[in-house]
Amino acid sequence: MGTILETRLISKRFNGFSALRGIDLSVKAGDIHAVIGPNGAGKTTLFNLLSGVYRCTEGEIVFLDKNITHLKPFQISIMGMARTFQNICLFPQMTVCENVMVGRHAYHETSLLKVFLRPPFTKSTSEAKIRKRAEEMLDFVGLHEEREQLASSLPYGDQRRLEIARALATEPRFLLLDEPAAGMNPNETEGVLELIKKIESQGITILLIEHDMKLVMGIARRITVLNFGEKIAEGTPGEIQNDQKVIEAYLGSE
Amino acid sequence: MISPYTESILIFVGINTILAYSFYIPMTTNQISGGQGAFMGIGAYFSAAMTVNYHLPFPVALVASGLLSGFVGVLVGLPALRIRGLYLVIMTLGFAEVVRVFFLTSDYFGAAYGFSKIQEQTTLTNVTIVLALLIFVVYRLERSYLGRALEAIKENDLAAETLGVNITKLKVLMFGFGAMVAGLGGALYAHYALFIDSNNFGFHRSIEIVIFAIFGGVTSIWGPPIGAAILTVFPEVLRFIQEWRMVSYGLLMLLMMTFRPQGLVTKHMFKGIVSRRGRQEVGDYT
Amino acid sequence: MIFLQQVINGLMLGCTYVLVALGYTLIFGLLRLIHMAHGEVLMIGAYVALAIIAYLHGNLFLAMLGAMVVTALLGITIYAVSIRYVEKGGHLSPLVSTIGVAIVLQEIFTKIFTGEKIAFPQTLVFKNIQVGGLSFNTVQIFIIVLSFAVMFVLYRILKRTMIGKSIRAVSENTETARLLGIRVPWIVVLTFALASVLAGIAGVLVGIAYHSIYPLMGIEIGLKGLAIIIIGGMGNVVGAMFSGLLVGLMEVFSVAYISSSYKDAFTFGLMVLILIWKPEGLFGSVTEKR
Repeated sequence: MGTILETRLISKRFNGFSALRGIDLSVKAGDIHAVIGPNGAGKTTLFNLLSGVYRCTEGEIVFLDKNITHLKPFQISIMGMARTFQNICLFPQMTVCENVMVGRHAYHETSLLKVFLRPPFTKSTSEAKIRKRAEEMLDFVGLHEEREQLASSLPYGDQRRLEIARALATEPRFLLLDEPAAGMNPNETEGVLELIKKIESQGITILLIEHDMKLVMGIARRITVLNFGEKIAEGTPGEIQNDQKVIEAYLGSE
Repeated sequence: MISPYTESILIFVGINTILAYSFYIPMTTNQISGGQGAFMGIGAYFSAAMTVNYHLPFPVALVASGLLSGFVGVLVGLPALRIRGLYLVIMTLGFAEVVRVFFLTSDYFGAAYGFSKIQEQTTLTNVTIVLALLIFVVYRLERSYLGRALEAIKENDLAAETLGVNITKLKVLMFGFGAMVAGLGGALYAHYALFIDSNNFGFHRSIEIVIFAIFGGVTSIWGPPIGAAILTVFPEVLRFIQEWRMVSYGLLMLLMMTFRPQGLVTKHMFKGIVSRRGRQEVGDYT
Repeated sequence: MIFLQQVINGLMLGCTYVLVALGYTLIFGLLRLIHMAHGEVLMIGAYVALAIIAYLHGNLFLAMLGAMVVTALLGITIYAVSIRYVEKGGHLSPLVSTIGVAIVLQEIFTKIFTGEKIAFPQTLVFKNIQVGGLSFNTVQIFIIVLSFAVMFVLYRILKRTMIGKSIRAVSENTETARLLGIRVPWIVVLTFALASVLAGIAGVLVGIAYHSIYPLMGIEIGLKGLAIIIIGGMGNVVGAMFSGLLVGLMEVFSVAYISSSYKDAFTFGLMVLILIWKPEGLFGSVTEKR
């Protein structure tokens, strides 16, 4: 496959404020590719552009060899791109399992007619399948026990896991993780690291935004550095660690 | 069997329940519509025109006016996608007033004189049938994968969309569905009240429908019928306070919003899960 | 010349609309909610003025003053009873609770005064004035001049005084305002009083302009005020002033040149159009509060 995602000079402007300018990004299939940069560099904006939440002011995005620049988020999701959010976006009043089941939305096997014509007191096989897959996802991230609890009742670290499980339920080829280890202690971060490796072993390409440098350097094969909406460096962890511009960006922003 | 008086009350309870559901349905995707009075009016006037002017059989007029209201609902629902919360309420309230003025100034529909000579076609039987069908559809919908998607949209439509849910389609569909239900309610109302005029269907009717729905609670499928039933029956039961009916109504609204804004019936009553939140908001979870 | 006559009529109507719209604007700007009983405050202001002139034999000045005092207190009471404990309840709750208050007030006054219109005592010296080919009267002048004076005073208050600045601060960011030492609860109370005073003044002016008042007069004007702030931009003071006058002119012209049945349609139709094409209103609305 080679390149799973490519952006060509994409930029995003909000009423005159330029959040991203001329970003060229190329993610290789199967990689764990990290995007780092000081706060406000435009990392989440990038994710929003990729997932279709924002529309590019300029440029093109190509995913799985198809131009997705003008597609809506749900279409991009169906193509195989999933994401998590910087500020957790769970469905708080739904249970843990139900949250993940929403991720299976595109995999329902019931036609609209069947929803209403199914005889009373029978169970839907499609629903049973969806639930089964959802529970498998929860098992994968280690939340199987808590599956009937309200999502909002989970501790913070588990909520992040849940969001990942939910994204995985869409069976993505490409997963965008927005600060999956934010606010976690070293133990929890270790857990996230393991989970990410587990996801990689499933053949899923990962694009990762993270501030935890230890995590990033330990797991990413390739790193892109953003600052003030522009790409200032790109390369392997080793190259990035020694890049003068990157060091200045981080030191300068303190 | 049952007295005509009781039958009349039951019919109104049925119609009001249908109307309450017309508000409930768009609320499942967090769309607060203050315009259900308008869709009710469209259903009422058009069904009346069909039976009185074109002598179509009532069932045909009923279904046709429902579909028409639903269609208009979809037309309104499309631009409504861009507006949220309070702005949507106000926009739809304004729409209700525009529709009211339309009927007020339309000679074909009787203008200020209203539309009269409607044949009584609504019976307890057909109201019950429509209501039962409606509840069945909503019940099945809510328990399907679509119902889950709707709930997801309500809680966080952005996240839902990134999970493959076509929020545009579902939101517009629910808005149109709600409008259709209001239209059916309007048609049933017209063929029971036998006379309608534009004053029945503006801002005030829309607010009344909102009250019926949120009094019962818009987070559970059993909210609208309970709310509509109580609010329809109570003023009758307390006939002696007929004088103070409106005042009690206003006070009730005030008290409900202060002490139990989530309505009488909530989703969590039936789930057996104790909600962690102290107070629920009126269908507002985001 | 008819055209200019209508312009004056339109301005007169528009001025009362502006005062109502400003009340809505202040409250929306502050609390992000619509005060659905605002029209009833206007109505009560009118009745208070009528009572002062007719029963207490006061003059117009006293009547205006009395109306202002009563509506200020009324506004604060409405806040305390129906908004204070409800405003957290999502978008619908304060809307519904203030509608409840509106209904209660409408009913009470209908019980006391019946639904009929009562003549509003005319204490202004009515004189027709001719300038060029144009004919207008003292009532129109009084209303327009007084309204503009009130608008000017309000504008100065908001821009120049500490209180005005505090109101604007709280409107923008309650937490920050609180941290800066602004006593937010007092500001809220004050803003409600201010908004209600505007409605009270408007009520008196309506009574003067139309020579009669009735308990349900608040409904229509209340709705119009709502449409106006949508058109101008919710929470936008300049927007309220401009669109209030615009709507006044539009209504007068549609009655004069088209038909009186359509005047509401134009106002609400414009409102719906604005919501579809420029939801933030002609002058922009306030952003989500933090």
